[in-house]
Amino acid sequence: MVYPVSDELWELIQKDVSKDCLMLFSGSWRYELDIKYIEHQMFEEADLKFHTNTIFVDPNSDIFKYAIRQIKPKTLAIIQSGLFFRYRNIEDIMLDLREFKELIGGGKVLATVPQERIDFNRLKMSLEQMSENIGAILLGNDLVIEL
Amino acid sequence: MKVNDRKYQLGWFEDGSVIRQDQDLLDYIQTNGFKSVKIKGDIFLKEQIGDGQLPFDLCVYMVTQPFRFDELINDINQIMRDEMDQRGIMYLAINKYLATADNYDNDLSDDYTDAILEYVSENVNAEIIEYHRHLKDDGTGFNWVHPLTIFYLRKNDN
Repeated sequence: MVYPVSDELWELIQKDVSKDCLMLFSGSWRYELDIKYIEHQMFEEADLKFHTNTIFVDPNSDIFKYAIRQIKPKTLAIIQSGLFFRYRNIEDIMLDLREFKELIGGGKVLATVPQERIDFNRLKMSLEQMSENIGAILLGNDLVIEL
Repeated sequence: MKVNDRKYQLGWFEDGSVIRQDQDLLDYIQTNGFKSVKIKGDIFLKEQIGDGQLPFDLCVYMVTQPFRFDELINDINQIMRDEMDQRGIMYLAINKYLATADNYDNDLSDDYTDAILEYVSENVNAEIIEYHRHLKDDGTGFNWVHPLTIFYLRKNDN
């Protein structure tokens, strides 16, 4: 449930992600960054080598938002997460990201996703136009959203 | 979508598992007794469907690679005009997330699935018999293997 991370994107993540970062549903087994991670509860028993700083929660539970508020990271990152983006409409995604921004109270939200994994009306606007509308940039094939 | 990617996806499931859209299409072909079926676009069902001779009474056109709507429509109109039987049918399946357009039309509906229907009906030289909208997607429908936005088009009489 995660999408590949390009070299370009990896460079950006390393630059943007400080120690005081929380990464959501992005596959903590594939990073060695010394940060906190939240993964979906359903992966708790999965045969994957999750980072030791990983907690497992159900994103639909109250504890999920509580945990984000308590951790209160300077940066909340969602990197190439199939679980979070999964072909959802960009407007719905932005609503969630803005809510995360509120939850962390002033920190930065960084979200990246391959452009073909999100939904928007591709007959009414170009990818570039949509990116501009939401204040995102395109890095190769990936959309990078910073709030 | 390469043939091997497709096999890889199916490899996660029990032997004999099939993609639902594939089976629906194969059933449709069998039920309607088409005589000459041609595959355009992605050809991964060629083994099961075969490769017919001109003129075709069914064309299966599958698009799982990035495409431009206007180029697709031009291609469909050319196939309809030059290669299809008098009342031939085209089965068109497109991955809507891989589309771009030459012009962005503000008069189309805001809803993407409605806009696709409007664009196709305005530009394709064929009758739309059926349109399967691809609405909510949680990634479990194998859209990238066999797209869930599906049209059945019939060649116009004229």
